[in-house]
Amino acid sequence: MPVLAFLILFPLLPALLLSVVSHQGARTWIVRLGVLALALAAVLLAKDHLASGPAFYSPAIPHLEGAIFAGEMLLYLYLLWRCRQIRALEAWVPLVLLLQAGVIAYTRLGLPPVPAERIFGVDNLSILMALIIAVVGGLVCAYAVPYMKDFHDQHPEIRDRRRPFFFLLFLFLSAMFGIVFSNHLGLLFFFWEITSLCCFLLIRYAGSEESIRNAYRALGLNLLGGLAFALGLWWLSRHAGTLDLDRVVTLGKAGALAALVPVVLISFAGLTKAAQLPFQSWLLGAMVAPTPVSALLHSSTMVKAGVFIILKFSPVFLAHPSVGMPLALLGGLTFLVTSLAAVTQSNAKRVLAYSTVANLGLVVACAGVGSPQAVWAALLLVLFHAVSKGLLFQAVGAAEHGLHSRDIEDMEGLITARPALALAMLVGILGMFLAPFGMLVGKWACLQAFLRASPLLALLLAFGSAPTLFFWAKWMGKLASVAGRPRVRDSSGLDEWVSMGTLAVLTLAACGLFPLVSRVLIEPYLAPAAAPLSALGSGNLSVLLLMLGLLLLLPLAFLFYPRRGPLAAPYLGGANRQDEPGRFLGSLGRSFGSETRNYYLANLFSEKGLLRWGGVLGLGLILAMFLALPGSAAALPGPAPASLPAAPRFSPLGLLAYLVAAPLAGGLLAGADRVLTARLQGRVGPPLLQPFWDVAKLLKKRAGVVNRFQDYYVACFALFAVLAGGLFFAGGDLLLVIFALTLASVFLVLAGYSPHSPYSAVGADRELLQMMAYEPMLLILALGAYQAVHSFQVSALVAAGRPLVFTLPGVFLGLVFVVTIKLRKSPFDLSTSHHGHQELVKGLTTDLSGPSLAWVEVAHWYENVLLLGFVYLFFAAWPAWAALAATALVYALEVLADNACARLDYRTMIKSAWVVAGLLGAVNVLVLSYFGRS
Amino acid sequence: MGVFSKSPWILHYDASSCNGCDIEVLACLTPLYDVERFGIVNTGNPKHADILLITGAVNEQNLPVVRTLYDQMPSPKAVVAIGACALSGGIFQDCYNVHRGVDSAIPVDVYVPGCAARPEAIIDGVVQALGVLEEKAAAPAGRGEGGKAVAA
Ligand code: SF4
Repeated sequence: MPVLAFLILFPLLPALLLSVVSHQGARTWIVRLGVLALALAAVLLAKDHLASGPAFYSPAIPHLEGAIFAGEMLLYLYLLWRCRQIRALEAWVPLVLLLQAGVIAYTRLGLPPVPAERIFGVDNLSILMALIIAVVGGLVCAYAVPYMKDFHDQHPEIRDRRRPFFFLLFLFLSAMFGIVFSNHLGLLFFFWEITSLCCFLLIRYAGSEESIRNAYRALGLNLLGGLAFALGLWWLSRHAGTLDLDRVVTLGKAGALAALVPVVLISFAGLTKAAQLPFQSWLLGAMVAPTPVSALLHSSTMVKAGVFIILKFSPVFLAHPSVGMPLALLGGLTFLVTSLAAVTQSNAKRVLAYSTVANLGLVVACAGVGSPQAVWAALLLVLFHAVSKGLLFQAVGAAEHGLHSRDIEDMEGLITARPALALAMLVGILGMFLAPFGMLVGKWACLQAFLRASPLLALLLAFGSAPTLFFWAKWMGKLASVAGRPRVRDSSGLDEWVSMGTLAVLTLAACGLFPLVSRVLIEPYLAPAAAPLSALGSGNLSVLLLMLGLLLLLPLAFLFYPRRGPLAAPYLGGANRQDEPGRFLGSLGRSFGSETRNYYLANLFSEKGLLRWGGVLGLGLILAMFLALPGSAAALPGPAPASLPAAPRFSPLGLLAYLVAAPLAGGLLAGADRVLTARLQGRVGPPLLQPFWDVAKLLKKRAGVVNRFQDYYVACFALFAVLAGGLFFAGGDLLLVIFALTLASVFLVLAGYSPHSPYSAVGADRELLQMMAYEPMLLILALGAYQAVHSFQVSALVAAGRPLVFTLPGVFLGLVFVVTIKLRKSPFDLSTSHHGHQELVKGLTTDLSGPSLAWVEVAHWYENVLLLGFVYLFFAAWPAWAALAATALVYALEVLADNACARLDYRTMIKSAWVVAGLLGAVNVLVLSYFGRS
Repeated sequence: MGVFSKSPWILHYDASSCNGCDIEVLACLTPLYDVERFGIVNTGNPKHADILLITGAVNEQNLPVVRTLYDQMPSPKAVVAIGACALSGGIFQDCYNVHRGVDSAIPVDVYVPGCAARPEAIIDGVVQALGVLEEKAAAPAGRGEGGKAVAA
């Protein structure tokens, strides 16, 4: 208890000190010491309570209820006074405020008082949150000190109100601790409103017209949630006779309407705070605030409070799927819609904001499902997201101070201009979307949990993952493009670097150590029988760790790698200016630079339209949640706990066979492709073994890389492509195979971006578009396979009694469609082509030569064998010769299509691939799950 | 025979020819001649190419381009000049802006005469270039390159 009280109350001390001190040095030290104390206290709390388990405290606080009431009323008065700057259209803000105050006043004064039994509570969820708030939130505060100094140096027109600013930061932390430790909902509500207040004041910090408007929007939407919360409190006081969170959860699980209604109301409040559809606009508007505020709101406070309260109610949603499912679907929908919206943005902070909303959507979806595995995934997501997003916001802020822009296009070439900062940003981005890093592990667990609950959710995740991949990878491409920009001196202060460095290390460490975190912190929180970690499979965990190790060790290998020959210039149609690297001689003898811009897919979908329709659907789902209430009073038994998948059986023989035979088979396939193509054109064509000669020759050529990073990217591409295939043929987890394949492709794309040549860059862009097109279908392949045999294990799929092609005809056709894209066959050979017909010179591989090109080629062989392995799965129940013949037939058809089609543009590709994935794949999966369960 | 003669990848550059020779080069790819039988691929990319086929007399405008393309080809590499123009400037020899043949810009290994050069002759030229390639590949690193582009 003392530590707990310390965490809630102590931040007020630095807050008060900082509200009077304006000396930079003193401020620095107050923040440093305060943050250190908080972090230590949080660790101490974790150490104490992890051993003893959850506990409740009811200290005798005199006049607690009266004090809360007085505090709330003061808060409302202050906010009302603050509302004096509103416009006519914002009149609803004070209106909601007054309504809320009325409801609270009526509840407190008009109803008999409800005795508070357990005022504070600590469980593993609150410990996890406290650690995040103290460490990540604390680091953001430390980062803020030098940042705000720079901020005011650069913006002399903005009034320096740093004293209230730092006061608010620490008040925010205090209120957050209050939220996570309060078991008394009345008290929790008070802290809840304080966070809304802090958020409002921080957003309007700059004092500009825009910031004031956005601050009112944030306040209004959060007050709307607050109103729902207040109504929940009223209902509880009136019908349930308790305000204790744990009692409400128990009552709700039992199906008492007295508790269910407030649960839904308070979850609604959580949805507004977590900026879920249709309330996402306030978080997007909040980025007018200085960057530390965004970092705080997105990583450790505010939005996390929203998902925290929803997660608290997850047992209720598990028991009442009729209420939980609309909530889960709302989360899934938010994930899909905001991920797509992020694709349309070039402003780094907006991209980050949309990605926050999307990831919180996943957490909400997990909470709505409520099964132990889903909650496990949610907690991991919260943890990983806090660390990576904190890091990313800080890195963007630091970049903004150097570049005077937060546009991603302006971050081109950061890897040579400010290598340390670029590295920090890259680590943050990797942490957000790629295997083996944190968020992906969380997504993987989500997918497994969703499949058991509702395949529709899993499909939303499958479609939402593709845009996520797209917008992160194109950002990485900008950073990685070596544009020959001069090195910029880093102006970031020590505290900024300590903060970013710690978070970067934490991002990496969280990936390596998450099994430990899971065992110590998260699993004890779940039902005792649940073993979500083992559901991922211990073999799979080792593979993840292996991937992490490879990624981290490979750069070291390149440090000691002998430098081969001089660097080559990028390909510019031969018109390179010798005296100006990277520029070319254009018409009239003038010198031009080459520039490429990312794709924003504005001609496919618009941010506005997405949010409008997403908002409408979201409102509908919220409505469905309320409408489901009366029917759900009769407690439904939760779905039967699904049996754990059988332990994965790795077959080393398959792995060995793949490693040795795949390049042979892949080379032969490539040769067969060329011969077949020649025959179709009335030619004789090369010998069957030609591809082997090509590679042997390339290996003997002198290498000429454009920059030193290229080889690293190519090596990673080859390595992970082989790893993906090896995993597949060893009978491993299909999802992990797909993730590894994605990782490999991202590295290939980076290899295309890094030379800063227009041909490679456009090829890389198109490769990303291709990935965006085929990714949903690949994931649907895994989902369908799971529906068919209840396992992701390739070994289980091969052992299926009935050929999958009969169970999953739609998925099969969809797969054949996207394999065309993945093999880069016409009509989808956009990024590069293995044949002569490519208007981009050689697209993606233009600036690779000699041995690098040879490795890319060999990796393609490995990859192609893996893709045909996917196809083979569908016939695996047949005798081997028949299955092989069927697979060969599919390959022949791909070659035929390659020669018979003209290339389509990227819009048609994405549209058609998504439509095919939706109509054939998704429908097949849904039909199978609802009708075909054998 | 080494690997270089089994997989010659070609870059074809038109240094202001009349297009007569270009059409003959492309004719080599057609079903009638089908040079892919010998593993020859028209890459269109200096960084992938082993043999540079140049048609036309180099002129003042494209001289730096020819040199850059040649420099961007990874070693070992060979150059085949095709047609009278590429050999000596041909009928354009006396034009004010024309250089007298490709070898005034970069070292040439094989000369294929003709106006236009016949596809058979072009294929024969490439085959001879293969021998040059193998020789260069066998030579110790850094030698047998014919040096950097020669000044005009
Ligand atoms: S050699 Fe004759 S055909 Fe060839 S480019 Fe010169 S003029 Fe044209």
